Amino acid sequence: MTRSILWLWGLLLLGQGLIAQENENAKTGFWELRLGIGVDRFQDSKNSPLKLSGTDVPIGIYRGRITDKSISTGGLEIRSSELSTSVNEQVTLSNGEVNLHFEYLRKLSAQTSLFDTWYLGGRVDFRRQNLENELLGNNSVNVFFNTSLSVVNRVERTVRTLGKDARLSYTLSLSLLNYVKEDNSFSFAAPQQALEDGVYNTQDFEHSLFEYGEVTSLNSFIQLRSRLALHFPAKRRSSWELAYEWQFRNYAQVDQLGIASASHNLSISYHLPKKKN
Amino acid sequence: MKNRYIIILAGVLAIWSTACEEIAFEPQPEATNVQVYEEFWRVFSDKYAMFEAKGVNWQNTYNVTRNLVDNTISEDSLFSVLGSMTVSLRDAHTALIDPVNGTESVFDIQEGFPENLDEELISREYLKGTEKTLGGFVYAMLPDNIGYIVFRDFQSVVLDEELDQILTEFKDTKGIILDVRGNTGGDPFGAGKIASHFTEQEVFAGFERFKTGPGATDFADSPFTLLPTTGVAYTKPMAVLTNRLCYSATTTLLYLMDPMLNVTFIGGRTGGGSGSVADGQLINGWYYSLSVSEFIDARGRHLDDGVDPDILVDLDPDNTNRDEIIERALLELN
Repeated sequence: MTRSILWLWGLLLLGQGLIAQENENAKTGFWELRLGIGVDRFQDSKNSPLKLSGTDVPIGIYRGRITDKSISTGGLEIRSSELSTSVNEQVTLSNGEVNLHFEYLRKLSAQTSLFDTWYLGGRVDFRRQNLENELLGNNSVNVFFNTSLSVVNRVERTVRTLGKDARLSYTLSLSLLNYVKEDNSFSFAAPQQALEDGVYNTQDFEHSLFEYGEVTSLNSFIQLRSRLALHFPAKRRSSWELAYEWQFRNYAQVDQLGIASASHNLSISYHLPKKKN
Repeated sequence: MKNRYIIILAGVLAIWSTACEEIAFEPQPEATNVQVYEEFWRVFSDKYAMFEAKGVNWQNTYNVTRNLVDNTISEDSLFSVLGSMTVSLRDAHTALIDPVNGTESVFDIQEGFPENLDEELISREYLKGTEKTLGGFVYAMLPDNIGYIVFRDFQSVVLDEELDQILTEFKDTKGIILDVRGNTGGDPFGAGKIASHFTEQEVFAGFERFKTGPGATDFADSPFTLLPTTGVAYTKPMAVLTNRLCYSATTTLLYLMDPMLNVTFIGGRTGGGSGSVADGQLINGWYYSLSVSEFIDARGRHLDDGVDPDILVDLDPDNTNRDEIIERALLELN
């Protein structure tokens, strides 16, 4: 377990190294501020068959660099929503998420009639989700954490929209390797792995983020992101971006009793150029 | 032409993403009587940890109660059926609550047992206004140089510093009476903290058997070895006073202290509540709690229906000037 986590961190550092190396040829650095609105959906089958959903207002801040050959970004996203169900107004859940990511995309030589630019790369996410049902006692709070290494594909083309040449992009990422930890087990408010390892006790049981999780591949954790964005140039090398993003996760620490979550967001972003070499 | 491609692409993406989602999301039932009953039965079937220890065959419970429920019966009738199923487990950690109507169904552990506690009598005849209070502890010196500590509630946070101070004051006593009668529990971590002050060695207390999956054999054991305090420890003779309302975190305290050779348990049968508790909401919003583990102590005893102390003593209800349980403890420590 520890070795796997160290490996994951190693990959992250390697990714950061690549970004740093790319900076030497940096063409444009930018800051991006993003505000969105959308819908979150959630279902935890081990606890309830109810599907919950609610309105979400995500915000994000990003830092990135674009060169002739690559795009690298890092960013922080925060979102919160009050989830409820159509079946019963008494069941509600407060959902809060923080996601930190680093992404590196390398331009490919491929071209098609539909898209003139192709990228392929990787992404590391550190995501923490807090779910709270204030009516409950021991199981009122569940914290879900995952670190995921994903493969990312991005395609772009220029489109003439509103009298301007805008860049249309579509990005798809799929997690390949994950460290996943849920604070609550199948039945109790302690991690499943701690119970299965037989280490829980009521004197001194404590656990950090990187204890009692599991390293998984696609077999038990799937994280997908799909983003369709339209990028409009604005004054002084700044730009606006309109986007639709879909995120989806499916995880089961106990077979056949999965957690499914999804979000659909429309967002507007402002890109502020930092420098030009 | 190009814009048409883009519109088609966006449409395909939207349909694709939604379709992917729906594969992962399980179908959601309606909150009908039958669906609520089925969910309640399944949750307990999957997660309740003590059917065997309690001698309850949950499938038989289903066979007997299922035909009492259909979608025409009233909400009260449904609550009554599920409530009777809850009580049949004889487990006060297991409850069903309708938060809208304010109704609750839970097993009464006191029924059929003597109270074995008279606070007014203790205050009048034993404390006599000499007691001190520190956090959740009340303590006083009794005749013959015996320390007396009362701890009635695990809802308050237990601090090592409090125990250090009390036990420093009691360091020259012949023994200590720890009175936890009427303590129905709270935070079990406080139990570990208290028990750690009455040993200088590690104490194997038993193991907690958790339900880790929906299968009938999906259990995992967590052995529990109590670690001694790094603060003030008291290892002279002790009497721990019990009654039927010693429940939940108090049962934790009792099983942690049971292997200590300097400890004698005196009083009434305890209440049990050895398991850890989980809770949730049914699809109609009713709240439930249930035991998802069971503690089996170092002697191999199942504790959830309560255990008799080393010396069984009941209060005499006709004698309101004497606490026979405290008197027996004083006798044992002298």
